[in-house]
Amino acid sequence: MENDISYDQALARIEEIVQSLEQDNKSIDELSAMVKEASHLIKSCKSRLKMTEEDILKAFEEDRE
Amino acid sequence: MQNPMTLFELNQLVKQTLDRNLAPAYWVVAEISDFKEGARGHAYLDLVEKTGNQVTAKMRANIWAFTYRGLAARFREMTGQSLQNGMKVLAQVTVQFHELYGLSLNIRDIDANFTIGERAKRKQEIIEKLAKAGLLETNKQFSLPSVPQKVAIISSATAAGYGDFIQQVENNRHGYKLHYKLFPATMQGHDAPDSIIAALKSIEQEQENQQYQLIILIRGGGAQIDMDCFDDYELAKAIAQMRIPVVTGIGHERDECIADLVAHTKVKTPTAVAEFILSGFQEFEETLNFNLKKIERAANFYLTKEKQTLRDREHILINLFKNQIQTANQYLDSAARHINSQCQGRIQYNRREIDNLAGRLQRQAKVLLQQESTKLEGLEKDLNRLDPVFFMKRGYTRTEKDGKSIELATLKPGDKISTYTLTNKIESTITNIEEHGK
Repeated sequence: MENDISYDQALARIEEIVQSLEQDNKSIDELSAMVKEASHLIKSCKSRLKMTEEDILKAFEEDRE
Repeated sequence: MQNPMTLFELNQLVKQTLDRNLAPAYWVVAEISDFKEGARGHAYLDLVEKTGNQVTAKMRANIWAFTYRGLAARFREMTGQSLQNGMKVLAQVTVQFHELYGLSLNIRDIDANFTIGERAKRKQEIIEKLAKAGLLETNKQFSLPSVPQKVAIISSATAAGYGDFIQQVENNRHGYKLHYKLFPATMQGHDAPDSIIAALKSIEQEQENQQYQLIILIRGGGAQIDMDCFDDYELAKAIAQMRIPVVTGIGHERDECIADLVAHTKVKTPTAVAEFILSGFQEFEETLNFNLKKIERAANFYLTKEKQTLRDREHILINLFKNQIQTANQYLDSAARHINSQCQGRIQYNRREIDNLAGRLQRQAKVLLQQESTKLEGLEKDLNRLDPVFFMKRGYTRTEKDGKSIELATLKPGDKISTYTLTNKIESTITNIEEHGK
């Protein structure tokens, strides 16, 4: 995921792709590209969630020191 | 005509007549003139009487040595003077006539008291004359300098008295320095008054340049005789009219002479004059020292007093400061305690708050993350479900007509369609279309 795109934007894009796939009006090439984009975005969002969690834990640990 | 007689007979007759008619002795007032002491101790003189300057009576007189020795000594002792010319005396005389030497007076006694009185009378007249002219106090109106630095001396340069004075001044043990100049004058005898007056005039002439502060008149010393010159009216007048103080050291032991009376100050001897001047110096120095001591004492007193005052104030200030500092310290301590306790409370409270918030934040973050995770997983499932690859792997294919799913197109035989498998794209033409129901 690019840095200039926020988590919310990424999430919105994923939802948009899912909707688009559900409508099934795209060619297989487009589908394939969209799926790739969405799964990339999902991985990125997951890693961001993980990072956020780690950040939070780290922050509270520092606070307790 | 009477029978002539010899001169001797005549002289004898005169002598007999005198002896017969005259008393054995007479007291007579006369002035001494032409006084001589003979080789054998006799004294020879003339007794004269004057009216003004005119001699109106005169007779030869003698005092035989036997009488003269005692008489002269007694007279000198009583009057302070020897018998001398110009002196008025009361003499007890016997009239003598000698056939060879003629008429003369033999002096048997001289009343010294008369001479004293006579001299006193004359002196008194001069004094009265001076008083009338206002000259007795004239010189005394000037104030004596306490430390005379420039002194004009009238004396005789060779005289012992002058030497004594100089010796005394030059060798004074305090080392005081006196600038002096000698104006030489004759200090005894008839010439003395004029000579002294001339010296006074010289001083006056130099006065403008020299600025003498004091005139000293000192007699040369020697025997206590012939002091009459210092009773001279003109000399007294000259002294009185000097415009600087005159100090006399004439050395008259018996009584004051008129020069002493008109002078500013009279001292007995030249040595005493020196002492008088030096004592003025010393007194001045002592006064200075005394005042110095007084100033020193006063200064010390004030310094000590001020020091004590400062010390007292210092103590007061130190105590005040100490008190203030203590008060301030106490205030600070209590403020610190107060702040500390306040802060501790706040900190405790805020810590609890923050802990609380942190807990909430963590919990909430977890929930949110969980939610997001769940959402993402859902989306992932959806995606997987919708991914054509998912179906194709299980043998399903996708068929499109003109790039769109055949489910969305209207098909008839002869249409070209594309079929996608997992690995291949298959182009085919529709030959037949049948419905198959499920």
